[in-house]
Amino acid sequence: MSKVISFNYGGKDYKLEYNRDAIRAIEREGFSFSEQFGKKPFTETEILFRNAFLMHHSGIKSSTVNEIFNAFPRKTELIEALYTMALETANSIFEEPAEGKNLNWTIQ
Amino acid sequence: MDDSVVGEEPSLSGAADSGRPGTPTTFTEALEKACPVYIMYGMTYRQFWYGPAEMVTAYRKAYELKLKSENELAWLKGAYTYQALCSAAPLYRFSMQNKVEALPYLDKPFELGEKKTAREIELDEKVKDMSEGEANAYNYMKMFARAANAHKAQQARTGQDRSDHAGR
Repeated sequence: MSKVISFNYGGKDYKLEYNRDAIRAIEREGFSFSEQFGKKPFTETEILFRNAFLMHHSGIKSSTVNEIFNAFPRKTELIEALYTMALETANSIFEEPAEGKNLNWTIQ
Repeated sequence: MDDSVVGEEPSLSGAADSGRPGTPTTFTEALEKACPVYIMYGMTYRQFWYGPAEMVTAYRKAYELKLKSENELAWLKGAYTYQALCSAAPLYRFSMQNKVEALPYLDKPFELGEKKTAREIELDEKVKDMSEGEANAYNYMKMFARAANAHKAQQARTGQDRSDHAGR
C-alpha cells in the first residue's frame, strides 16, 4: 500500500499521494532524483509539495497550496516523508527480487 | 550486467557518457519505457499513469500467474497429444500375421487438482497387477475400511456431542 498524508484544512479533507504521472510532472519541473536532495531546498520542497496534490486535488490553486504549506508543522519531517513517498512510487515498477534470491543489507 | 569491474574505466563499446546505452537516466524515461510493458500485463494507460503506485505489483504478479497457467496448459495439451499418439501407435506397426488395433483413447481427462499420495499411487499400481477376483476383493476391503472409518468418525462426533450435553 502506498503511503498517503491526510489532513484537514479549512474544513476540507486532503490527501497527499503520488502516482506515476506526478513523478513525471516532478521531473518535468527540473527536480532530479539522481542529484543530492537538499541542494536547492526551496525549489525542491515546493515541487514535491505541489505535485503531491496532483493525484487527488488536481484543480487546486497555487495560493491555497502555499497557504497549506505554511500551515504545516514539522516541515523537515514532511519533506522527508514526501521525498520517500515519491521515491517509492517511482521505484514501484521495479521488481523486488524473488524470496531466497535477495540479500540482506544494513545501514551503519 | 556484464563482467566489468566497478571503478574500472568503461570500455569504448560499453557505457556511454550518461550511463549505459539504453539505460534510463530519469524515472520519467524508465516509466515511459515500462508503460507498454504494463499495458501488455493488462493495465490500461490510465491505470498506469494515474492509478495508485502499488497497482503495478498486482498486475505484475497476475501476469506471472497467467504465464505459469499457460505453460501448464501447454504441457497438458502435449500430454494429451502424447497419449493419443501412444494409443494409435500399434496401428503403425506393420504385421502380416496379427490384426493390429489402436488402443482406446483415455476414457476421461487427467485428474487435476489434488494429487494422490505416494501410498495411494502404490496401492493403485498393485491393483493393476491383480487378477479380477483379487482386485474385487481389494476394492471391497477398501470400501469396508472407508465405511468403518466413517462410522468411527461419526461415533466420535456423537460421543463428543453427548459429553458436551452432559457438561452443560
